[in-house]
Amino acid sequence: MKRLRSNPALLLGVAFLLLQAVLVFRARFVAERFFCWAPFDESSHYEVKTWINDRPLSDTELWDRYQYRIRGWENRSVHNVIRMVRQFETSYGTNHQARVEVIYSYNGHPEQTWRWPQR
Amino acid sequence: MAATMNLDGRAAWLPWRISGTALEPNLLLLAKLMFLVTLRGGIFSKLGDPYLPFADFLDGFREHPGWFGLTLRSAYVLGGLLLAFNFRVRTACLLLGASVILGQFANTPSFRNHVYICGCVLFLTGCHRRGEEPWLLRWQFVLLYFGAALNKTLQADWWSGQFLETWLTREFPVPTYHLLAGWFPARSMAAVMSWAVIASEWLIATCFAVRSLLRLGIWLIVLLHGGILVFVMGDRFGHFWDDILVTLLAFLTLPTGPVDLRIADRARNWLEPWVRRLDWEGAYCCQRTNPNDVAWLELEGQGIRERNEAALRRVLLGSSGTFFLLFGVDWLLDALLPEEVFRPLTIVATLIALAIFIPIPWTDWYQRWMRPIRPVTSQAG
Repeated sequence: MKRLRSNPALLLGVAFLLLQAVLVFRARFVAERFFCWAPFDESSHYEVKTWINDRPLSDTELWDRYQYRIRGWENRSVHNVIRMVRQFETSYGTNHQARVEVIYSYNGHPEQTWRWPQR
Repeated sequence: MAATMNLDGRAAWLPWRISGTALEPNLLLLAKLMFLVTLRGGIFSKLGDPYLPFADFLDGFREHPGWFGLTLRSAYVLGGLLLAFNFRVRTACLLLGASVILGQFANTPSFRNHVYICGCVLFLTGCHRRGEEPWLLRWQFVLLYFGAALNKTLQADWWSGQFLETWLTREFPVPTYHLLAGWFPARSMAAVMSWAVIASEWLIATCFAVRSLLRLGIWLIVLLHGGILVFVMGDRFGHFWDDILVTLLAFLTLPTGPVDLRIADRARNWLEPWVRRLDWEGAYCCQRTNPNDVAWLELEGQGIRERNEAALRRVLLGSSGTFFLLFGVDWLLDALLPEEVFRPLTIVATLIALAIFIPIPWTDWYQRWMRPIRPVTSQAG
């Protein structure tokens, strides 16, 4: 402990490792998989569809909106994609009153749909 | 600027020098290569303003567009320059690591594990204190493999093989898997492979947590990821394969003083020029072996004596030029060759590297195989 207190950089390193450990354990309680060293653990095929005033957004508009692939394979967790969509719709896009569907299938299981706004 | 510990007195500030700084040579080499990995991976263009950040308060920076991104890029460039010229190298690593991590934290869509690990390793290298074992980096490996193993262990689809079956047949079709899996009951091969990966990751995390098992842990990583690379036809998962190999340099001991290298005449013509080309720190003093010696290469110095392939491995791993050259050639070929050519080349290179670096005494085996069988003569009583 004395050694850590006498070396601020070492203390910073230990704190950073502890933060990572907290994030790894936190991942057990949330659906998404960020900062928890869990890539390539789920194989999800998904597609994002968004409508504003009943008009479907084009692929380009969807890319500009979410800055992420709007269809394809996601190797971490499909909830990573859902989180990004939800975060956009509750922050930058809160006034757009968009309607979103994320249609996905993970690890070859039957297709599911996540919808926004959530009812 | 400290200029002690230089092996041959040349300027310590030259970018390809790795001695005479606040970091051990192997850690400075690790940091420089990791910086190059991130540069090659296009990190510079990804360091921008926050967009859907992980922490809401970062959105406040969007009110002053451009400044956050400029700060990150400036920190990255400054860190890179300091590191390149061996000035304040620990600060450089902290700057580089912090800019990469913060860049990831500020932009959810651009988060990638293979980029995040670069930031973590650079940051922890900056926190390392010279003279100590690189235990911060060792525990980074523990966390990395613990997190990966824990996540897989708690997923039924990993135990049943469902994930690997889907991944290797639909998302990322691998012909080898298709061929081999057909010989076994449905999904059983995927299940066995899944258990092997889970067990390997738990074992790796344990080996890195227990210092005496470090060497085993390193070999497990090389075999696990090397095997995956070969099996999935050369996909490096972004630059994760590069990240892991570079980080393993933390546990490599480079020479800190002169080492005698005795080369037999029959090997001298091809070996000595290469040693001189790769030995950028000037650690190896090349001499002739005793003509009566069977060995074609002998290494002695710093409490180590090796011969033949073992000596060659130590020379290759102990020369910073080896790593810079490999990285440079890899980068060049990746830029010049189409992916369908580069990936198989990566597999071939990996297999050759494994054949060289796995400690198999090829020369001894060859000599034993070539030794003529002497007839047994009985002694008259």
